[in-house]
Amino acid sequence: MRSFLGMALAVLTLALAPFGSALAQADTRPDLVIAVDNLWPTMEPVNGISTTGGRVHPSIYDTLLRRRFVGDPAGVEKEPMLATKVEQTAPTVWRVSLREGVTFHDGTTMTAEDVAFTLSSERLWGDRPMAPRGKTFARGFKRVEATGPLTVEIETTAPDPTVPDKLALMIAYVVPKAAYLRMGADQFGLRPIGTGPYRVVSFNSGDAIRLEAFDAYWGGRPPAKSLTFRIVPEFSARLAGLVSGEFDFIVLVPFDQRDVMRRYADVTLLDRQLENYPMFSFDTLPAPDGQPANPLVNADLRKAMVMAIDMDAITDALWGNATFTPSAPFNFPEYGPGYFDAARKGRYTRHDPAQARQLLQRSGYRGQELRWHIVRGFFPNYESAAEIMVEQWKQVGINVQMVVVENFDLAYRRPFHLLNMSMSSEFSGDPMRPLWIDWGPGSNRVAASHKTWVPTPKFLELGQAFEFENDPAKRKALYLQLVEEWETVTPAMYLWRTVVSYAHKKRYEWTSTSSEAMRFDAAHFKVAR
Amino acid sequence: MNLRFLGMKAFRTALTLWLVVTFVFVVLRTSGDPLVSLLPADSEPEVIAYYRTLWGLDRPLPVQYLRYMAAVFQGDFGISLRDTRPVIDLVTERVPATALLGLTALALALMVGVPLGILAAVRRNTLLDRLTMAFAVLGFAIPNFFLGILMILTFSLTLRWLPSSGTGTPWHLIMPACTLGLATAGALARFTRSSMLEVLRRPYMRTAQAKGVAPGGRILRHALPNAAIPVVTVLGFSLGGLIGGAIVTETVFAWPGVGRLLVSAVAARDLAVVQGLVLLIAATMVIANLVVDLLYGLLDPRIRVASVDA
Amino acid sequence: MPVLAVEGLSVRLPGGADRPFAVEDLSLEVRPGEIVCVVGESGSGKSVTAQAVMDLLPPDLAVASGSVRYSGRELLPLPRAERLRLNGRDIAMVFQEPIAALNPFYRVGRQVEEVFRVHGAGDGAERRRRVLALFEEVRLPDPARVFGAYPHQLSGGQCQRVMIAMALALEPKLLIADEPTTALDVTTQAQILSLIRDLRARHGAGVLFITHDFGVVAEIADRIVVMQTGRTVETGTVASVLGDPRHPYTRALVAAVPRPVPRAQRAATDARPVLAAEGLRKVFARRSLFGAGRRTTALDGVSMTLAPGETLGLVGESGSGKSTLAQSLLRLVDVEAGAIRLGGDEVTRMGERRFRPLRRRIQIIFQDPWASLDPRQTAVDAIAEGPIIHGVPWADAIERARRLIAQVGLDPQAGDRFPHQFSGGQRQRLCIARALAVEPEILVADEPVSSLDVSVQAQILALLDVLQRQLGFAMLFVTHDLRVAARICDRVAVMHRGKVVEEGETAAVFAGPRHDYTRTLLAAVPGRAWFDVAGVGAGAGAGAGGAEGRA
Repeated sequence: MRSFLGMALAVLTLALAPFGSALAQADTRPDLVIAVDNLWPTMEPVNGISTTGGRVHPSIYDTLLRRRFVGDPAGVEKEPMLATKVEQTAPTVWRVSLREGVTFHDGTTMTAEDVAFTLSSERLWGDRPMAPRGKTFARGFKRVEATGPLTVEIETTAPDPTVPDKLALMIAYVVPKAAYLRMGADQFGLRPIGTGPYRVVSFNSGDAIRLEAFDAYWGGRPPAKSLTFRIVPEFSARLAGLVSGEFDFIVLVPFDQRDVMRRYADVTLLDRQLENYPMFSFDTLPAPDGQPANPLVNADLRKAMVMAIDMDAITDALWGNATFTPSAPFNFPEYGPGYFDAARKGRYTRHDPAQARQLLQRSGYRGQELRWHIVRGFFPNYESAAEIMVEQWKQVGINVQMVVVENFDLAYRRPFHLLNMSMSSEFSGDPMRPLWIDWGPGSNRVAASHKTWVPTPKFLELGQAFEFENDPAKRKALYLQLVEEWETVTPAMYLWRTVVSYAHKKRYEWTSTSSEAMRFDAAHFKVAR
Repeated sequence: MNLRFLGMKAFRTALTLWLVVTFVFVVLRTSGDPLVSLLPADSEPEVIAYYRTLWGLDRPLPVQYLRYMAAVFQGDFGISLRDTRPVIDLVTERVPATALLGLTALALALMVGVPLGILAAVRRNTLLDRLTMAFAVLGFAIPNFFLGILMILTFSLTLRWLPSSGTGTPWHLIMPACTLGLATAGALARFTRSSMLEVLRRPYMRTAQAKGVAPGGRILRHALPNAAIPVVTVLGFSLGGLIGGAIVTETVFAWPGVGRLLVSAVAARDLAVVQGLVLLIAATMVIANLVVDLLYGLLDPRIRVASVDA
Repeated sequence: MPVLAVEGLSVRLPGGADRPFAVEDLSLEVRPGEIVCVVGESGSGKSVTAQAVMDLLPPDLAVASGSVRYSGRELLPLPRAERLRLNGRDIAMVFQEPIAALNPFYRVGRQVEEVFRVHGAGDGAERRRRVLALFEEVRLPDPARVFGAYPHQLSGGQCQRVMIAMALALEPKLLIADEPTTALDVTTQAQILSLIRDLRARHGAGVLFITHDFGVVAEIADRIVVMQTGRTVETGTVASVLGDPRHPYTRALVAAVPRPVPRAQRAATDARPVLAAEGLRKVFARRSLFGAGRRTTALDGVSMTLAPGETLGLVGESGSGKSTLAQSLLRLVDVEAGAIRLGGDEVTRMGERRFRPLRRRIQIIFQDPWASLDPRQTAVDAIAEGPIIHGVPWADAIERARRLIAQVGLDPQAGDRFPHQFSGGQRQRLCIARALAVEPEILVADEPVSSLDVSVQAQILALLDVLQRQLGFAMLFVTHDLRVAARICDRVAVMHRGKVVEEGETAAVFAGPRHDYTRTLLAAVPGRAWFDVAGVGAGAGAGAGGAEGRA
């Protein structure tokens, strides 16, 4: 049947040869098909913040800066993209100099107006923003203004050393102001226009998004003639398509299928640790009146629970060497040597059954049942890990009951004592997000209906100082103090770093990133010769 | 055509659809907060609150219900919460793909199921009959997703004959249509067989033989038209199976149809889309059953032609 | 040379049957222009014989031995395709249930035309002309209209004429008629029989006529073959077999044939009636999917009375309204006008709740004993159910049920069996026992013996008679068969098109029918001439055992 198809194609090619030969000879770049599990229905880069949208965004849009993953899988450094220079002109003011001669896919030239609009209150952080999900990432913005044809000024409410990091986030994917305002955020999300290496030619959120090389790309001729992100929800179909040559890339190879993938000689399997950590939080808050008392109000019990678990062994058993458990809270390698220290051990976040028993004794825990709400199948291997942990707790006399539910809304319904979730470590290039934004006031841990703790006054004080501290040494000292204060309370436990697996045809060389973003520009993708 | 009869049917159809819509509305609103599923797992409360107001989910349930019903009556099925497009656009965009798949599967099921059923009935209690019925039961019993994956692994991965998923060429249609059609083929084979057996026992079949009509003519001209009448009703039911099966099959084969849309909309609790789709599916099934009812009457002369006083 | 010569034919039954052969060592001959009747009760093998001749045997039956010759040509060794070519052209068949024997999907003209088409005769226009001519010949009214009609649009008699036209299409030398009039009304039966006689004379075909009814035999046969459980017990001319039956089985059969000779009336009818109806009217409006409603007047001002202990026969052909009347008296259908009095109670429009306790007083038995018994209920349970519902203690009800089982002539031990373990006649006995278990004042019997063999029929009628004398209930006996009515009814009411056209003492009505329709009915009773000539009536009437009555 394939040979018949092939013959038909050959005949067709012959027939059309006189017309298409000039073009066909010129372009030998591959047409890449990337089989993905789903596509987010809007490609507006902020409203479309998601794993299934984020994979596509770097091909359509450019950020002002971006993290450099070529040569450094951790991506600690940032490189200029649409911004050539970002400098702090006053404690709260940053000036962004823009690249000259960048064109959008619609042929217009990028100006400071476009960039200012991209980061504006109108779009991101005002009262009725066009892309409301940008608020989180534009924390502290006070004024964004085009001060010259290729200069933009950003003023923040307080000194903020993380502004350059924010310019590498999704909010900084530059959109063309005029087209965006004409179409509105929703329409724009269906027919997106950016400055990226590929331009969208068709988008059907139920099927595929197709992009063609944008040969006027400021960064040079893109290495693929076209990209097609096609939805193939079923892994078997993705696998079959990759092996048979229909697809060039596939995402989300299930962990237990990696050995299957390795059997195919022309396929490269790629494990990638992302900047995300599955965890569970303890409910540290007293039970409401009329409800049975919450034993987890006692910090000793929480610490005992953490110490009773041999997390390294569990991670090793479930994941092999594909990922790891952080040796201390917030000791994440992606922040580079400035913050990461492989030798650092947690004060309580370590396996010590003897001390766990002591703490348990002191806590006065009487074997009350503790409910652990887990969303079914949401985090790979989570339930397996939980089963082992429940067993290990049982051995020291702690009675934890797994309650597996279908969605987060059900998981958030009280009563629960432990709650599954994951936390991103991406944002500012340092632990500000996982440690302060995600545990500080206004975070879901504190403010949402499923809140689980109240930050201590010391934690609040240290956190505020940390957020606005510019000096690297002082910042690091504050970070260590914050972690210590956090551990004093021990409101949660981080399990491991999230790992995903891609597979692609061996003939390609490709550099992945530590997020969902898949880059197919010349720096990250080439055909091996 | 009897107007009162049609009026009753139309009323019952409308009632069924209203019940379905209301049921889905209530279930969706009471089984979980759509915002928790729609927004990233750790969205800030203020972002959640923003969307809750934007989508009117902060209003009391009865108000939401009345507004929704009022809109539906005006042909407005709302806006998808996830990608902010009118539900009607999203759905109509997907209908052709599902229709193509469903009709192909149905045609395949008819082409396989009916002849097999005839053969089994004519060769009753032979090995052929038993094999056919085993096939029918198997077709009915094998879950769609299992069959789909099995086919992908066999025909795409191992043999590399067919594209694993997606759309584009007629080749793409083969595996999904077979997967989807198999259960229906099995059901049709069973129904055709029993209907044929029933008809073959009828006195008029002996009359045909006494007239000297050859076996082939007896089966095709005398038995089949009569046996087909009850089989037509099965088609109405199997449409329900096809739609249910399409949900799974479209997911396995990345077929961009209504079923896939439903799966992703349910996963994301995209209320308006789920409601719109359920309404569409219910309407399709109700209308299909209505059509089958009428077809039944058209096919059977005993119903079509009123008896006259002798 | 005979058109059909069967010699030593044996047809094997599948293993597990009550006997090894359906037909055993059968020999018969049909000569051109001759009508040979094969007579027997159900299971005698008469139909199997016909099927063997036409190669129509069901797959589980096979010819074991013997020879079947058609015009001297041995048929059995021929390949099936060859035998199929003979069917319809040389040998044709007419079946028992004419409506069911026609394909409901096609217009009847096309079905007759198919005979020509299958055997390659004529072109389209000619075939149509020939079909219309055939319809003319079998005396179908308006042949062109019938040509375009579907079977369900025609009456049973019309369908049988179509079937006969079909059989005659290619002028076969042998016509096999398998109970061709059994499912038809008595007047229609008479017409069809006369048609077959005429056609035999005109076409000179030999006819193998299969029937269970000696009345029909008397009407049509030249020669007779009597069969019992697959064997021939007696053959001979019609005069010798009917006039002087030799074999005991033949004698029993002849004796069991109900005679159209009335019994005497027993009870005076001046007692206050247990059931009375006045001016009943019922119209059925049929609403079909594709047609406008059609209205049928089933009851058109019907009045009747039933005195205690008497039997009133409700006689009429299908569609006369007799079953509707029975059902409306039982309040199973509601009438539009008129009044029904059950004893002293006016029940015409009584609500179901109020009527329910009165139901005990009026019970019914149906034609099909199969359909009216729950297959998962033992005989005793089925009979005891009614009394228990009406408040009889369980033990008493069971006791009464066992007594009734004996009373209806069954082995009391059989009470714990299930319906399928009884024969058709036994099941009807159970139905009678069940109806009588609640000690009704009135028993409505709706064609209770129509589906039974003559010998069983006679037994059931005798049983009803005996039980009535023992228990004293009044009986409304609905039947299409005048001979049966004659045998059991004190009075008869003749119904025709929703009206009672004649009513009176059975003897009076039979002796001097006043209404034309009654006269037509009586004239159509098959074998009437034979009964008269042979003079077998009087003895048989007495044999039914009720002539002396209680007067």
